Amino acid sequence: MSLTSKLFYAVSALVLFHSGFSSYEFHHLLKLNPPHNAQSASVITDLPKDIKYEVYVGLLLFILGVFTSFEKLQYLPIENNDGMIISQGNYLKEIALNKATNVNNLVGSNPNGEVIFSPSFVDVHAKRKITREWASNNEKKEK
Amino acid sequence: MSLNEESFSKLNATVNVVDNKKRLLFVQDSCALVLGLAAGFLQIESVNGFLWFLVLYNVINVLYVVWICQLQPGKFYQSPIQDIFFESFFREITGFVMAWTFGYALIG
Amino acid sequence: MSKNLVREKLLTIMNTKVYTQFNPEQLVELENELEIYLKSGDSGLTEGNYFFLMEMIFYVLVYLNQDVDAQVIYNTLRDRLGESSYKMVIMRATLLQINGDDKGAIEYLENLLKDDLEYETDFVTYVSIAKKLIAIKTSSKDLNQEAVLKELVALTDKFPLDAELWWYTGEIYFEMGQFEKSRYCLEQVLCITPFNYTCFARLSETLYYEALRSKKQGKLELLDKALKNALRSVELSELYLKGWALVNVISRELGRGNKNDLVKLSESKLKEISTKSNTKDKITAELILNKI
Repeated sequence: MSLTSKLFYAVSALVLFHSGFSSYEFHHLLKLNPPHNAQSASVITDLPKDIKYEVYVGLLLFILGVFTSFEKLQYLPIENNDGMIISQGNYLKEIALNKATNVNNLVGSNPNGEVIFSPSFVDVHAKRKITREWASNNEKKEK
Repeated sequence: MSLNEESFSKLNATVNVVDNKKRLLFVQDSCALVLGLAAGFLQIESVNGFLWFLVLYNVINVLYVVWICQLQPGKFYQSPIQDIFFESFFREITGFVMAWTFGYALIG
Repeated sequence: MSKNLVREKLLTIMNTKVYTQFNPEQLVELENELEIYLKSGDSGLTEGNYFFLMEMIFYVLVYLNQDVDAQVIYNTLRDRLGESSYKMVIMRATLLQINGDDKGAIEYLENLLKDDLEYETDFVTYVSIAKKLIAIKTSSKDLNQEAVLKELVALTDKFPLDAELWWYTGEIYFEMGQFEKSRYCLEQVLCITPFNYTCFARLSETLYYEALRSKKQGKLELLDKALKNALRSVELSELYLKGWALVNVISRELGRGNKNDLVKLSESKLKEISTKSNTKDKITAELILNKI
């Protein structure tokens, strides 16, 4: 959730609370002095405009908050760390399988890796040997 | 085999379908509740309240299609009209009525 | 925000097990990134995923020859989770292995399999431990491919629903040049994971090699099959590099010229990949295009 959205939520909560309270006070006063005679026509019985507008504004801000809580989906590529961020400019994930897997292609991951990289059959000794050689080569270079 | 061949390109990624529905539901749930609360604050009564909900609920849905789906709801929902406008209608209207009566009683 | 991205990335690496394919440099980078990430404390990380990430760190450390650190991670996990889970068992076997005690590791796993697991109905545990056992035996006893295959086939008889097992068997057959058997294994993988587009591409590749080796009569038929499988893989994943490359190569082999629809289509898709895919795929796609 983005900062803008949180801000909208906070302000709208305040505004809505305030408008609710104003509305409560108005109706409370109306109860205390019920319009009972012919003069009442001139007395306001409708909610004052400013309270109404405040409710509308609070509502609008809340809806904006909900919508700005959506952010364009972003991904980091798997294999390089140069800070590049991939985005297709969508707020939601595409549902067609051939499009959905494109995200994997762009990121460079393989969703079936658990099968095709055969992780259970990794030869630990060979792996360690490679890294050892790599490390010693690195040291030589540094010298 | 021919049926099989047809269906392959029309497959959907189930995870994404569920995910998108969840996000839509969040929008509709929260908006319905706040709409109800606002209706209560404004002391709206009887049919007007339902009209208020109907109009604004659809406005929000349209906004969702325009803003979040970028006018291509078919890309993200299997049957856009059904999924966005009708599927959770009763769920939302009950939520709305609950918040509405709550707000109304609180103020009145 | 960026924390979410890093989390997603690390979880993807963990889920797809791609770290088993990383080169030393990438492993070092991954290890650094993991440590920074875990220290920063992410509230969005579930406890289950936390343990899976710890498991990944363990293996990365093992690959990097940092045995003491790996042992520490193992001890932490053991104190939290106990020793009975198959993941812990496999980790312990790995530790035994790196301490130079392959025999001990083999004995440990064999005893486990004989004593308890033979009679239990736990499908995942038995297969996973049996797979690890084969892996250790392969490297320590220098088993030749035939012997490994014997073990693998025996295991597939027992557990015909393990995709990884079939895939690995298929790979060994492929290395031995027994394409027909390799194909059978890949078809089994596809029965278990029907939307595995990588496997479709691999199947297509196998068929293609088989076609290149076979004589005229069967050749066309095999190539046709290979093309179909390659097309299926790109049907499932629009920008799958290997799939499009195979489509291109095979349709050329079938004698279709530059003006053929498939050749054109695959070329345009390769061009698309070379402009917008990930760095590795971009370079590969460009290389392929240059060769064409």
